[in-house]
Amino acid sequence: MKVWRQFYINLYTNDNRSFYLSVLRVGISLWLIKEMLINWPYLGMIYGSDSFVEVSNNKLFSLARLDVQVLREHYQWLIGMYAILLFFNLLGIGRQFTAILIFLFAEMFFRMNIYTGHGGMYMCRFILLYLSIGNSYRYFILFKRKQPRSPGREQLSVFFTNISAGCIMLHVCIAYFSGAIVKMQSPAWQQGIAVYNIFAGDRFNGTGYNNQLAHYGWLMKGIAWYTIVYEFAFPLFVWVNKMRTIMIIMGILLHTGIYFMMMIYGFQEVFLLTFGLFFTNKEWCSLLRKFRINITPAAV
Amino acid sequence: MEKKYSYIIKGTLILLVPYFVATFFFSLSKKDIPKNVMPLYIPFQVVFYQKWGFFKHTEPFNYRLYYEVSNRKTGAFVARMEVLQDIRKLATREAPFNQRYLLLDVILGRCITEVLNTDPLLLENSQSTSGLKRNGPLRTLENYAAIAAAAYHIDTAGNGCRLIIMQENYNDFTSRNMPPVIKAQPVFEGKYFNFR
Repeated sequence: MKVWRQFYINLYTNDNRSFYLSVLRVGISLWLIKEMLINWPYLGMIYGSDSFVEVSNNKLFSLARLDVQVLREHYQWLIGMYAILLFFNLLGIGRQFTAILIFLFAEMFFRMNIYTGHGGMYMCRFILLYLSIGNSYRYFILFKRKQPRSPGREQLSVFFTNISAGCIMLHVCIAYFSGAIVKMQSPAWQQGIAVYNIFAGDRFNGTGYNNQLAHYGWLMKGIAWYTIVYEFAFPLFVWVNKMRTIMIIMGILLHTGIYFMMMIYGFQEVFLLTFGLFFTNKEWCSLLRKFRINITPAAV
Repeated sequence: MEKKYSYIIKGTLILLVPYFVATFFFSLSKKDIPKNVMPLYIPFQVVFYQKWGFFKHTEPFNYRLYYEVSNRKTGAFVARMEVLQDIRKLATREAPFNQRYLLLDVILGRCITEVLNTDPLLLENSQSTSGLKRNGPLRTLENYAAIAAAAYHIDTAGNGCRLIIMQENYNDFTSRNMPPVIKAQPVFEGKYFNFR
């Protein structure tokens, strides 16, 4: 009971993750800007009303009384507003209000073309939602707060910052764990056949020599089991201090492997970005001090 | 701590528990979701759409998307073009600066999967009512025909087109070290349509 009580008190008194939450805000904003820039020549194809892609209204748009065709006709305006908001979010202008608008825009663009959505975007939407409740504006912002908060409001801010970080970490763990359950139930994954099918096919041929690698059965089985073990182990052991670094290194290896071998970029970039959140402010401080970088919060 | 803040904190924690329980259960395969919570699945996915079981089913084949062009009046064969293989080759060759090909691949690939998972009667209906009950993925594939024709320098004036989806099987895992044997079979053959 005492442990839970202490945990509860820590939630609103100990600011543990605000540094990396600020890094994540900047990182996710830059990632979304990058996604927009690499898609820039093809935005008309993805969102435009003249595109060959036929999209019908989805249920959420119907509930919100939005018409996907009208949105697609005005996609350039929407992209323009979104770009400005991303720039604001990068600098911390408008704080949570900007963050919630970006979440709504990202959600809208995600549903304006159901075909181009990917795992990175699924997770990014949730990160944006969680970032909008926490205080990711203690570092890397353009304008500081003029007046400090009252002690009660400060405690509330610390609580929502911890909750925001906790939600992101928990969501990453759920994503891995449900992936592990699906793969564990599949005999094709246990025997390495699933990985062989990916490597021998032409859809995810990131290197040009994936087809040759597919001939090595032991390698296919090894990659399959590495993925299953990692996806099962990460949600359980990343919370254990001694195991955390190993889990993160395993994750970096898996995601960089998928990035180069299978050409699945966005998903890996977003998941890799979240890993830093598993380290506390104190740990980041001591790590950065080794490189003679001192971090001090810009706002209270 | 002031009471009002304490209520906010406790209320948030109470809300988060069912939210994450639902997130966990509804991100599993449909067959793993407990039956008594299944009615909440669709409303939850409408708002918090997510899917994490990537590469659940992988099969030892590639899809090929063919457009068969023929003269509208005489019915004479003009040309046959396959688009997916070239897009994928270019995606591999240009990686990591291959966004155009990745986008085309993901759009056409997902439309093919959707078309193959749709009731053939609905597709038949979609093709015969000329736009009344349109099937989005099928129409997307049909719309792409004009872009493909332009890329392959095929004249669209006076010509019609139909799409054929082929399944090209390669050696499965057990015969991976045997000489490559590729078996191709059509899995969908559409009706003729005019270039849009």
